[in-house]
Amino acid sequence: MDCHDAQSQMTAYLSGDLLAEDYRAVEAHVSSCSSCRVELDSFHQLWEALAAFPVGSPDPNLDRRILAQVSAELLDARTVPAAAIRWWGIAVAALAAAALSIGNSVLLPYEVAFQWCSRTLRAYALFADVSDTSFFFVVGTFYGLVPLLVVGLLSGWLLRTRPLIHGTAASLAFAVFVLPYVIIVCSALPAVFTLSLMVGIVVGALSGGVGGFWAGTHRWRLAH
Amino acid sequence: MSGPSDQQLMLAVKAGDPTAFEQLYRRYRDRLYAFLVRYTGDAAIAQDLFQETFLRVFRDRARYEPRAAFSTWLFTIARNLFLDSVKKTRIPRTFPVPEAVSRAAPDPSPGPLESLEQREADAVLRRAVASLAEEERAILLLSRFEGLRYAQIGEILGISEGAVKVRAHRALQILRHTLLP
Repeated sequence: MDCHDAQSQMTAYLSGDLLAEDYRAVEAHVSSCSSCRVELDSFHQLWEALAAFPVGSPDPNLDRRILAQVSAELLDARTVPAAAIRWWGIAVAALAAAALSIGNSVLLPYEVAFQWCSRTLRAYALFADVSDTSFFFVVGTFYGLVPLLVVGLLSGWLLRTRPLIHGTAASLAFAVFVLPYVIIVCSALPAVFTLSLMVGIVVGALSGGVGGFWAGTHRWRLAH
Repeated sequence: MSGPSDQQLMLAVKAGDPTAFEQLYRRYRDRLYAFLVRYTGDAAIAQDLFQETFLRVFRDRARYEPRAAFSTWLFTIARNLFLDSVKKTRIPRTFPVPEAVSRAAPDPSPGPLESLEQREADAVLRRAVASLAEEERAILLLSRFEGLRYAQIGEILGISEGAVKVRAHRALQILRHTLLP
């Protein structure tokens, strides 16, 4: 081993990262070479001096914060897989919302709701000139929004994840169940009113579904 | 080492055991923090990275492969987070090179002066380490304080074992030039 080889091995020598034979070769060289002996001594002195590097301790509150965060995330992950989309939950939510909406329309038929809405709102100057078609839209929004909002809050609480996907899917499935019913019961109405009612139902359902699922999920996260 | 190995604990973390994570955390808490303080040269940045590193270990638990030593994985995450924060916040990767300090005989006077000298010596040492290039600093600290092999350090830095050896040597030469003129 020459001086160049010995010096290139010195850091590995200090950190104990040499094979036994290389270690012995460095020892043998420095015992017979005064300049490499001085070089190794200075590196050794430096190596020891580094031990005095002050570091202190982490803030004790960090332990509590980190472990609490991990426990909370573990609980969340164990309760509901983050990536899961609960199709059964979407189907149950859509059916329940459709039952609520259709039940509402039996107790308060669309035409009755339209007349009440039109009469009440037209008392205000702002709505005096609004068309009948728009009032059917408002009525439809009510029949879509309220059931999805109620069901979405409960379902979001139970499913606890993916509120946007769950809410949108449940709303669209709800529309598939409800719109044929609307077409049948509104067959005597002008087509433009039925269409306006249906658009209102879809818009209300999407708003109520996404909002309800989001609020339900968020409420669960806040509680835990 | 008594008790379960790091790999066994990490596999238990993957399976959802919070006590296993706590054991790993307690096992590496002081080591990681000390590394980060020395590596970043700033206690506040070190605390942030310390928290982020452990949370990342937990959140990426599914990616952990028991083939690699846990410590290698942990320090790789810590370093990558530091490099990310350098990019985002423009934390300097290196600091100004300090004045060389002569190794004069220690002043025998006791009390506050000694304490002051000690603080100054600490500061010089800290600045000298901080003045190294990021890779050289990481290599020196992982080798000197964490006792990691060059092969492991190479895995963390994504370079060959030979390159680690060369840079480790260069780091010590720079430090010697700075601290022992």
